[in-house]
This record gives sequence, structure tokens and C-alpha cells, in this order.
Amino acid sequence: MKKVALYALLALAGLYCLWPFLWTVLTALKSPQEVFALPITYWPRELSLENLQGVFYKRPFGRYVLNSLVVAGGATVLSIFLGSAVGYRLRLRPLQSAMALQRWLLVGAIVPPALLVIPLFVLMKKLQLVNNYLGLILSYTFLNLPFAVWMLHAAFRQLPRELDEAALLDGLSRWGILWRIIMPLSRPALAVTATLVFIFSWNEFIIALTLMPQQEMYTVPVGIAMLSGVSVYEMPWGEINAAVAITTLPVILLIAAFQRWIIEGLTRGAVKA
Amino acid sequence: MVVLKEIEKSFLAGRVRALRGLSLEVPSGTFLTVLGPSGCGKTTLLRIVAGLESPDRGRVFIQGRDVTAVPPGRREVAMVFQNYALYPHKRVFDNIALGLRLRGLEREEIRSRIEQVARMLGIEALMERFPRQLSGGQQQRVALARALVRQPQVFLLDEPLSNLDAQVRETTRTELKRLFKALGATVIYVTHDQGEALMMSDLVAVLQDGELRQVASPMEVYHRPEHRFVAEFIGTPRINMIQGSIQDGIFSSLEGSVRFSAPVHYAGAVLLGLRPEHLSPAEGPVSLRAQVLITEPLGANTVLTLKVGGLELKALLPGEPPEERELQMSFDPAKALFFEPRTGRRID
Repeated sequence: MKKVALYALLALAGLYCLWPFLWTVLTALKSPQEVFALPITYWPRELSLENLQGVFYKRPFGRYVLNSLVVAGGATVLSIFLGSAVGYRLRLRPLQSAMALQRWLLVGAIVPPALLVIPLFVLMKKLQLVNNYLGLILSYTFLNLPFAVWMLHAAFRQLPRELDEAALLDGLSRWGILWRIIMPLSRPALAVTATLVFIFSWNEFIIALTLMPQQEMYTVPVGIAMLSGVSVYEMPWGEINAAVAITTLPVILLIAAFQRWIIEGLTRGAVKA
Repeated sequence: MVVLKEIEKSFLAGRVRALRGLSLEVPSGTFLTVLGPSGCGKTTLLRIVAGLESPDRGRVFIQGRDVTAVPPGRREVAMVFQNYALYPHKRVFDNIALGLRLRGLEREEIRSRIEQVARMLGIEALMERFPRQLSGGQQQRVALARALVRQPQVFLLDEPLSNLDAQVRETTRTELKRLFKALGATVIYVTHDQGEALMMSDLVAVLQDGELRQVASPMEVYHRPEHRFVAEFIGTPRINMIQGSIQDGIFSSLEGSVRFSAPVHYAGAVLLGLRPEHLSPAEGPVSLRAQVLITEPLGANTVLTLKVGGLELKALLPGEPPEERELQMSFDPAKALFFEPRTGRRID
């Protein structure tokens, strides 16, 4: 009896959290006329793929998705690579000096990204990286690196120092130790960090809008914001919802793939190891 | 042969001096134990030989080659860590194989070497397991196998038995001794357990506050300690130390109850060291009247705490505890040890 009540409560909470997403998906699947129909229909009278098709036909939305995948994927890989290298180097230092260095990194993370938009644009313009994947990848990596270092350093430090030393005696180089011993043993932390960096980069709007003004280089959030109807007075809500539903997909897939590690990573340290 | 020359090492910007100008020679095929209390620098010494720490001053030679600046992986040394440090994500076989793979050995060679070592240690059946699926004793064997399979010039062992329970420790101790004897290996073994040190080694190096007090065979270290610290650190129950002085060849204790003719040419204040087993309840050259305070039976032996004048002395007697409360104890002055109180050096 108690269990039933508990699960009912959990289901309710789940529904509450998922409602906006559910509403997005349902709206996307309505025909364009039904989206604005009054009284509101909660369940589509008939399932229609018109909105989904519209998203792809009227503009290069496939290209936006590709852009986003390249940029978010690149930033994630680069952040994990640099974050691991810096985190590992910090781990070799005594805790106190490592933490002091890490605090300086945090200073960089405190600055709101919106403040950085203009300086970043000027910088990228000078480097000729506007409308270039690398420009956005570098910007996202820069913004995420303090977080990645913080997470990975904390995870690496939990591993006993003797593991490195045993590996040194076995003949591994420092890079070899990081790649073959430390990183495989820190998979949960790597999964959590990678997922969060990816989500940030996937969703980021203002910098993407500034650094990628050319339509073929739009990322998904910019592309969605730029969706418009035939006139300024028309909002294509059906297509916007369809676009949002599509773009949530990679994130859901990513989390599903790493679910086991992410849960392990989030709960590690909750109980004594 | 491993040679350490004038090794200096300090930590925390010189505030902690771990090793103070330490020199040591370990002949090839010798099992040398570095013995000392916690914080005496013994693990630092081992890590310097391994190359995991670099000395502030001094040089390290292995087989005549100066390895002071050589990285650990190229020193031809293998180490067994106190907590074993097995790679948790690799199976036993891969744990043992990694070092060989990195040295570019052929697959077949690796397999046959590992099989040989596994048979020697009785771990053939564990090859496909992960370290977390092993007991402490099994992990210890795998760590040992990882060192043995490399066939290094020197084995370094850092308290490898301290994480095992008492029974396993005892059997492993004997096995280790037999194994390294059979291999004719050069071993540097670090422990704070004097029992282990005496039982396993060819040579014992006693370390105190980063300074070597004595390097000698176990029996030599026990019977002829060169320093007061060595005498006090080795032997259970602890050696009795009595303050006194020698005048005209006669030793008398400070409080006056022990007086005998000392077999040394020395005059002045001294410390007299008397091993508990050298005190016996019989007539002898030097007799003492003793009152029994505490008896502690150990089965084969008995430890007595005795009051002799103003002194409290320990005695180790074979057999059952005596029933008398008052005993006539005696010892042979030839077995007494004398130390200079200021430097701690033994007086011959």
C-alpha cells in the first residue's frame, strides 16, 4: 500500500518534470491547423509529420544539426582532453598548491558568458575564426575548461598514488599512465563531465549567434530562434516545437548511453567507498 | 649490487630531513632488510632506489651503473607496494603482463614467463579475475608475480606483509624467504617489524631519524648492537637499560643495587644493557636480589617484571613461571653491553 502511494507520487513528479517536453512533442505531431485550434486539444486528433517535414524542407535544418554536433562534440572532446591533462598534472602537486591553482581557474568561470561575447568576437575576428567551427569549439572549451578540470582533478585525486608509481616502474610514461590507468578508472567522472559539457555546448545560444552569423553555420538553438513564418506576425509554433523535439534527441541518447556511469559518478562519495 | 652514496633527502622545503648523508651497499644476491620505526626514512630510501624520489644530494648505483638520473621504468628494479597497487580495471594476467608488453617482449615469451611465475606462486587459476575478486593474500601474490616476471636486477619490497592477517603473514614470510633464496635475488625489504627482519634477511640495516645505525647480519645486530638505539629497537621484551658509571673497572648502577667488575677499558658514565634472557634465576658470576612484580606466561617462556633495588628489570625465563616472590637472579658480565650515554655508541 505504502509502495503504491510512493510510486504514484513518483509518477506524478515525473509527469510534472516531463510535461513541457511532452507538450512539445505532442504539439510537434499535430497538423499546423490543430496547433492553433480552440478549444485546445491535448492529444493530437490525427498524427501529422507536416511540422517535422517543414523544419527540414524550408531551411537547412539538417545542416544546423550537423553544425551543432561538430561544435558540441569538438568542444566536449577538447575539454575532456585538456581537462584530463591539467587535472592529472594538478594531482601530481601537493593538495594545497593544486587547490590554489584551481581557484584561479574558477575566477575565469565566474565571469558571465554574456560579458565575454564582444571580446570573444573581436578575438575570433582577429584569428579569422568567425563562421568557423574552430572558433566556437575554442570558445566553448574555454568556458567549460575550469569545470572540467575541477571535476576531473577531484576524481583523479581519489585514486591512490601508488598506482602511478607502479605504472612508472612498469615503464609507462606520464601520458601512458593518464591514458591507460587514470582515465579508464575515472570513467564515471569522465562521463558526467562530458555529458554536461556537451549539453552546455549544444544549448548555448548567444555566443553561437555572434560567432556564426552565416546561415549555413547556424547551430540548432540559433536556427530555432531564427525560424519564422511568412510574415513577422506569424509564429510557426508547430515547426518550432518539432525542431525542439528533434534537438533534444541527441542529449537524451547521450544520457541513455552513459546512464550507468553518470549515476555512479553522481552518487560516488555519497557513501564511503 | 646496489650502492647508495651520501644520500641526502629532505621534505617540506628542508623542514623534514628524511635521510642524512646515508651510504649503503647491498651485495648481489643479498636479502637486506631496512628496519626502523615509522618516519625513520626507510620508505624514502626504498623510493630513492626505485627512482620515485630523487635525492637532494648523493648518488645511486645499480650493478655499477649510476642510475641517479634514470627514470624508474629504466632502472631494472621492481617494487611490491604495501597496498599492492594492482590496476583495478585490468585482469590479473594483464596486470602481470603490462611491464613485459611495454618492454616489447614477444607474446609467446610473455605467456610462458607469466605461466612460470604463476605456477611458482600458485596463482594459475586466478589469471582471468579482477583484483577486487581476490583475497588479500592472493592480491599480494599477484603483486609479487608482477615484480618477479620482470626478472629485475633488484627487488624492492615495502612492508608487503603488513596488510595480511597474522596466519597468512607467517606462511607468506617463509615462502618469500625460500623464493628469493632460490632465485638468488638482490632484495631490499622495508619493515618496522623486527621479527620479520631477523627471520628473513641476510643483512639488517637499522635506520633511525634518517641515519644508519648498523648494517650487519641478524645475529650480529641482536648480540652486538653498535648503538643503543639498535639494542633497544631489536628484541622482545626490550633490553634493560641501566644508568651507571664505571670507576676503576667496576660498574655500579646510579641507584647502587648493581655492582660488578666490568670487562671493558673505560671510565665514566655509561648505560648498561642487559637482554632479558640473560638474566637467569641461578647462581652466577653476578647475583642480584629480585622481587617479582608481574609474571607474564607466554607458553614456552615467561616474562618476569622484577624489582631490583630501585630498578625495574625484565627477565625472560624458559618454562613455567616460578612460584617464589623473591628470587636470586644472576647474569654473565661477558654478555652485558655498555653504551656511551651521550653518543649512544657501544663501548668495547
